[in-house]
Amino acid sequence: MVTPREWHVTALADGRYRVEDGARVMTAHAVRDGGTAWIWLDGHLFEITPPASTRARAPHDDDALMPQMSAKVIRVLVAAGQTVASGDLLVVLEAMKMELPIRAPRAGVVKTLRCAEGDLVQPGTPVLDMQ
Amino acid sequence: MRRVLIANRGEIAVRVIRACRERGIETVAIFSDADREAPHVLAADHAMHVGPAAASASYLNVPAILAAAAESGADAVHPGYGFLSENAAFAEACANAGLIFIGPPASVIARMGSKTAARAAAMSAGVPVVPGVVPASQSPAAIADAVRRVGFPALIKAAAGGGGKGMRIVRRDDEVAEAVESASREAARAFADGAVYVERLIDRPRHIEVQVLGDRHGHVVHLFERDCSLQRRHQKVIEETPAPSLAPSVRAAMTAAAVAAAGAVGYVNAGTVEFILEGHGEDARFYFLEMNTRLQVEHPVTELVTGRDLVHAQLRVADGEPLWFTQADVTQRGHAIECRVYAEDASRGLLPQTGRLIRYVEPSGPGVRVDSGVREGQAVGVDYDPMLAKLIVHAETRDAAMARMAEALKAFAILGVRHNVPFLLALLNLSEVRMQDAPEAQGYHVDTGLIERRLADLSAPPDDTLRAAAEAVGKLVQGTHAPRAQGPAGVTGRADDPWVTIAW
Repeated sequence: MVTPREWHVTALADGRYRVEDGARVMTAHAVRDGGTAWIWLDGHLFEITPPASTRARAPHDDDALMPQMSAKVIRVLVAAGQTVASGDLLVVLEAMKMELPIRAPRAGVVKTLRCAEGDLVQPGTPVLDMQ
Repeated sequence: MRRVLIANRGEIAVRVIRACRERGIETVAIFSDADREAPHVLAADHAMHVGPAAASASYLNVPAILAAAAESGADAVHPGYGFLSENAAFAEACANAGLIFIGPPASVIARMGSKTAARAAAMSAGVPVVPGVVPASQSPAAIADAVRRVGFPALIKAAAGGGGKGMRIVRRDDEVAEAVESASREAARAFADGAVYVERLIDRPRHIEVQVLGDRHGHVVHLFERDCSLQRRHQKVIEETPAPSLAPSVRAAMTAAAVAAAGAVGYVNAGTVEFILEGHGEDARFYFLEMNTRLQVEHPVTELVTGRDLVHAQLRVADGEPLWFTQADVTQRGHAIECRVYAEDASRGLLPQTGRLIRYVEPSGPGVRVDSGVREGQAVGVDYDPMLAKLIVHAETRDAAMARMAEALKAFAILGVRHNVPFLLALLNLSEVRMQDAPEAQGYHVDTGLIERRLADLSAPPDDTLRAAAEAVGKLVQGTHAPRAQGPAGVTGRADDPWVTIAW
């Protein structure tokens, strides 16, 4: 493993930060938003949270079965108990006038359906559970 | 024309308000509940509330907008782009209310707004169109028959469509039914018209469009082309002019075709004739795609390269002025590129994001223009398009413009909402897009499917060294309760600290 380089950071008065390692000097923009530090550095955006405030990562299924934004359910194509193949279209959401398909992340059985056509669904909650 | 109501929001409303003020015309903004303190409201001389946050009840609410125009004493309406800009009924209602509609006549909007009618108009003007079939009826059997006659791969398109909505590619028989249903449903929802037709799919096309400007006295000129091939989900992301590696003979034929199409329908005001281009060099073939009867999002690149202000031109033409320059007066100087800065997450399929713009610092410098409609502290919600700003650069050559754009993007600090600036930088850095060291003869290998194909490369995380630097900054930010208030403080960070970093 390569030894990580050491970076020295200096806070500037206007919310910017000078970042240097002896060879390279960069300026970052950074702000704190609750427990998260947002950082803009060299064309990359970072969101940094301390380990204590980090929630356990959702299992992979949930990531695929969750809306990434508030959306309306326009079609539900499966029922509880139904066997689905990987990639099957399960639910169609609509947000910002775009259709957002939710597809089965793997083959399995639909355990519980958590939404109906016309519902508003929120990020962080899966539209259905699979087993 | 003394007082213009701008029936729009965001950066385009700000852009139009600026042009009106420069011409000594008073401005009236409209706003929804979500936009009470938005930049376009603050920029205008007057502002009228037209409804709740949902666009359907505010920026698309024709009776409320007409009432605002009457109450504010406006004598003209500028529709911007999107919302009601291509709504013939709105243009007609404005005319009936004695308001100058800053755009083409309602009849032209209606004709060009139907893809099938526009296709017929283009064909009658001798402009080539993509081979396709309009189904005899909208029954599933008739549409399936149209698909069979066109052959696979085919494109099912909403007759009333635009912006990529209501469009589905079909490559096999068993895909047709679902594609027709879904295209039709999306079109019905977005345009209140679910009718579809079928075209041959042109694989790996470039999207090239021609800016036209017509006056009320029968003159139409073009202001050259824009290359908008870099798209995702059929929505443009980066646009530029001149189109790289476009053969002069093809450019001449395309611009002439655009003027012919516009002339044939009696086009007035600024408009855009969109084409797709198949093949390379002198042998490239172009086909009419559609005509946009309004100002385009990407109009600034044309302004920078031709030196003509399109919004000023719209206002003058709408006021009845004959065109004050000829085709021979329009020339291209240097190269301009536009990047659309969106609140969307490249690591999650470019999904729109919401949040608050905790920090928002725009770049500046020679040849750098930012058209934006947001400011620091503003919330980015779900009610409207997630575009935050347009960053446009102008330089002597394409290479110089690309370098200028990269530097300007890095200087665009947006914190609090995930956005596509890292994605745009990665896109500019793709070898197909940079085209440096590539002899012109090899052609320009960007097409409208490039982003989808290279998506994985476009959301690659930064290297460990940069990540370590960011984590060092994060440690200082997290440990400082008032980072703005304190003078110099130092901290040393290492990459193996147990902080959780999400990076783009």
